[in-house]
Amino acid sequence: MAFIHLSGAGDFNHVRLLGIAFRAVAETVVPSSEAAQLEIAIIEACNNIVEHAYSQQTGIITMDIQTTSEKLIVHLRDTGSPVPSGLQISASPRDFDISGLDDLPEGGFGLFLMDTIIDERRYWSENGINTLTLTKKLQNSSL
Amino acid sequence: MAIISTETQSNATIATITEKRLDAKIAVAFKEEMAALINSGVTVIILDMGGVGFVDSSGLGAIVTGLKLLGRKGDLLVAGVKDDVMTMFTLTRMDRVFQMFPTTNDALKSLEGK
Repeated sequence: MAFIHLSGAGDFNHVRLLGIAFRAVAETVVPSSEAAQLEIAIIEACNNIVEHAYSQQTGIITMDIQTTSEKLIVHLRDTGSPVPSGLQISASPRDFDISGLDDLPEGGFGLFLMDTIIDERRYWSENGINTLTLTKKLQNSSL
Repeated sequence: MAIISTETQSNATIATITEKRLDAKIAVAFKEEMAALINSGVTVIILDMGGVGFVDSSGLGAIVTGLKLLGRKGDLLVAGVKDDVMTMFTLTRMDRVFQMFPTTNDALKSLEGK
């Protein structure tokens, strides 16, 4: 079991650093290939914070990583604009026509990737703090 | 700082991504470099991703933008994608959109006779 607390400025430079730090921690509990997938989910979540929550203001992203024998849980917190309710569903990339060059999506994969990689995603906003909790069940824990 | 370095071989331009991470930090700059390359008249690009260890959706989106800019007049072949990065392509189904090859040589061979 472990608990790691990280924080960084809400910009893409620090999101990159948070991702690298997360992956290093994740690799202590899951195989490297799985840690790489989890990093995608974490980075997508952090990118959303920078692009949306902090689009009009600067702020800090905090990342708490908790590992147990059964789960890896990541709490991401920001103090930016909360996600409006009802805006949490993104189009699945499975909807696009791969033969239609002009219609290929250039973005909007974030939530889809999170939900594909992570077992549980919860989001809430309270007292000016937005919290996104991503939980991954561990099946082949190496610890 | 250049994110891609280019080299012309036979009838294709090999564009090698020199950064280890193609993510939101550099996606816009990468897109601009790709657009400049395409606007210079290059029509067949082999994107060498052999040195890239991480791609997020903004990086992937920037590659898609390149494909769209080339349009039907050109070809964008993707080569050398590592297993961890391939996950991003397969999860988003982009592995079925791009012509993907294990190495740049494999990509070059596929162009022979075209």
